[in-house]
This record gives sequence, structure tokens and C-alpha cells, in this order.
Amino acid sequence: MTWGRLVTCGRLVIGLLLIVGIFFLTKISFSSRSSPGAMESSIARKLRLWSIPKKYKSMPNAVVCSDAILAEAQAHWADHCATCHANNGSGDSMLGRTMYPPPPDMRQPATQSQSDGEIYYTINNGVRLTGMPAFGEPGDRDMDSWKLVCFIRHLPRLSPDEERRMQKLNPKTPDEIEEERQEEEFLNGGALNQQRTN
Amino acid sequence: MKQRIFTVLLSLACAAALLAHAGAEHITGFVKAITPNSLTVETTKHEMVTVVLTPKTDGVKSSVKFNVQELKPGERVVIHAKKNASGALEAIEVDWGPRPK
Repeated sequence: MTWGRLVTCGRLVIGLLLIVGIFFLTKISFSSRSSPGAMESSIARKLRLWSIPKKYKSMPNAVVCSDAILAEAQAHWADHCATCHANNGSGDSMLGRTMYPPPPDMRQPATQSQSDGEIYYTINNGVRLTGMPAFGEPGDRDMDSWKLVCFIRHLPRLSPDEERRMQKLNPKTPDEIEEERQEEEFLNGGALNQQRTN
Repeated sequence: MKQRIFTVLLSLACAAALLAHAGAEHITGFVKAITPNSLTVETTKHEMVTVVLTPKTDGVKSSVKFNVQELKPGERVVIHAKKNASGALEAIEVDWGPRPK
């Protein structure tokens, strides 16, 4: 085969690849409303777990998960994490429902079977190409993140009353705060002369 | 860096808070009638509104979980409801009784 024919073949191959690439690009949706397929999820999860440095796999929680620590972490979660992960860790929140990939249901074995260190690493380093940012100070001594690990372990046993208490701690706009105040006033016997739709 | 993370988180939190109750309706009024499947209230604007009660509807009396069926006509309620697939208002939570301070 002459050099000229090789170049022509190469151009043909590149052209073909371009056509195939454009075809797939037009077929692939970049909408975040769809959900990743089972294979994509499985590969991404495995790759992510493999990427966690070995020392974290056996690293125990740096804090003792007492009731006080749990209460603190619960309030922290309601204020900072529930926006995407929901108070109960299901990921069924306004933002979580339409993220790609969606936040995992953290009550399930896929999360609960991870070691404390692995969960800590995810909180502290975030996950690229997802909505999960890195939280806290870098390194393995960020106590707030370790406390969150305590709460994540508690998620499968979260009671409806705990969830209700957490709702009070979720971020609110000034309008919502005023709305709650008016509702409270009405329930306590005061007057309220409006019906609202938010 | 810490400030940037804080700013991003704050923006996310504000967006979430703005969207958190999107589509939800808060009905404030007095109980007129209650059946196993519905609750009718006279709102503070003197309109009659009926909401659908489902097994998922939470009843909260003075911040403690309670059975919605224990409501009696005349009681003050705040209903957090959403329109269901058929367009009817479905109660997510019914609050009544003074809230503890």
C-alpha cells in the first residue's frame, strides 16, 4: 500500500468516526432529568470506591457517636445536606430528584456497607462530575464530617418525629419564616385573614 | 476557598428554600366536616375547601403526631396540601392545636 493510500484510508476512518460521534452526540441526552443506567451506575460506583485511598477503607470514625454528637450532626445535615439528600437521606428532595446522577438513597446497603472512612472520604473530598462538593477542611481530621458519618449510620433508623424536628431546621426564606409565624399565630387562637399559595 | 464553598452552599440553600414549597398550598381555617377520605374546612376567607386524606397524610397536634380522624368540627387547622394527578388537593400534613413555645 502506498503512502498516499494510507493517508486516504486514515482520512476515511477519521471521517467515519466523526460521523459516528456526531450521530451519538445527537442521540445522547444531556438532560439531568434522566437516570443513569444500571451499568453506568455500577461502573461509576466501583470506580469511585476504587479511587478512595486504601487507608480510608479501614479508618474508624474519629468521634464517638453519642446522642449529643448525633443531635449536632442531625442539625448540621438538616441545614447543609438535606437540600439535596433530603432529611431522611433518601435523596427525594426538590434538587435531588432532578440531579444527574441523583444522590443515592443513603439508607440502602450501597452506602451503609461502606466503611466509616470511605463515607468520610466522600464527604470530605466530594465526587467529581456530580453535585457533591467537598466539605470541610482537607485531610482526615475534619470533625464535622466525622460527625456526619455518625448521622449517616443512623439514617436507616430515623424516626418520623426526628424527621419533623429536622424540617424546622431546613433553610427557609424570610417569606416562609413569616408564613410559619402567621400559621402559628392562627393555631394559637389569633386571626389570620388570608389563604396562601406558595 | 472556605468562603467560596460557603457562597455556593448558601446559594444552593436559598434556591432550595425558594423551591421547597413550590406547588404546595397552605390552607388555614376551621374544620367543617371530616370523613375517612376527606377534610373540609372553612378558610379564613370563608371559602369551603375540601382536601383528600390519604394513609400518607400526617396529623400533627401541638407538634406531636396524631391521628387526623380525631379532628372535630370547629377546630383550627393548617393544611399543607398538593394537587394530585387528578387535580384534587391532597393533604400532606394537617396541623392543629397550639404549637408549644
